[in-house]
Amino acid sequence: MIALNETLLPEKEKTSSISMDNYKLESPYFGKTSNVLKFVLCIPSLSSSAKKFISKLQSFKEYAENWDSYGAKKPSEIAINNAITLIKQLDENNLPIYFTAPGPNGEIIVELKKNKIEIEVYFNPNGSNHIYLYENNNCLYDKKDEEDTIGKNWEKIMGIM
Amino acid sequence: MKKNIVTIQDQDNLLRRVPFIDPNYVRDDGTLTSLAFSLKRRDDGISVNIERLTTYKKSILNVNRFRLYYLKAKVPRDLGLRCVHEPDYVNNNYAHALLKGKINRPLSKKLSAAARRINYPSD
Repeated sequence: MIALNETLLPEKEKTSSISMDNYKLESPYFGKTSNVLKFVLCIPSLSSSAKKFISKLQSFKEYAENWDSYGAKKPSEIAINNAITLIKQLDENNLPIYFTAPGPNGEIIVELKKNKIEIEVYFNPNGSNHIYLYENNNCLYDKKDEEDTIGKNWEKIMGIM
Repeated sequence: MKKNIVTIQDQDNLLRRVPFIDPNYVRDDGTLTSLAFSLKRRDDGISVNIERLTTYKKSILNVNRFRLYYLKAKVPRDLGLRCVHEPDYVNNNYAHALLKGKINRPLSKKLSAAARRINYPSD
């Protein structure tokens, strides 16, 4: 069992860590008076900006049909959850999250911006996504994929931003 | 009673409601996200109101949730769209019109970038 009690560990004992997906697993600590192996599981601290975006995305789940007065569909939970995953990835890599909102078809947009360059990532209700790259509002790159568009284009996003 | 269909002039202002509190289509720098002029699946076009046939009060529907933005009709026309007066008699909206044509996300972005805010209710 993984112990979650970080306070049991003296600061100086926390010397190394390894990353495992979204979690950081600190080095095992053998207490001086106990042979019980203790792990500390720390949820990585998100920036306040990322927390704000995630909170905003969560709030989209509360919106009803026609929230925009033009007949918009209720934001898709699949799309919201995929967008949250991206926000975490972007934050881990210090990439500039700029904006997020639901679209009229239940999709979610996450936007990144750096000077005149903008990246829009659309998360569709069916789980697919679509990336657009713009410079001065002109589309330079447009990539749709049924699965893992983000993963396939991650290096490109990192390079641009 | 049905009224006449008008010809939309290039200089006509076409109004679009935009949510400005969460969900919010107005970004921190005051510009609009592409979603403000996105097409809903199975719709014939993007709904707008012809300014000269309506009032801001009627078009905005709810001042607590929306702001009005406008495009000159020339803007969507220059992007290859048609501006068609299609009154919405079900909702008693004679000023209703549609932007029709091949609308994709890059085009929605251009429309959003060209839209300007109507100062109503005034700051």
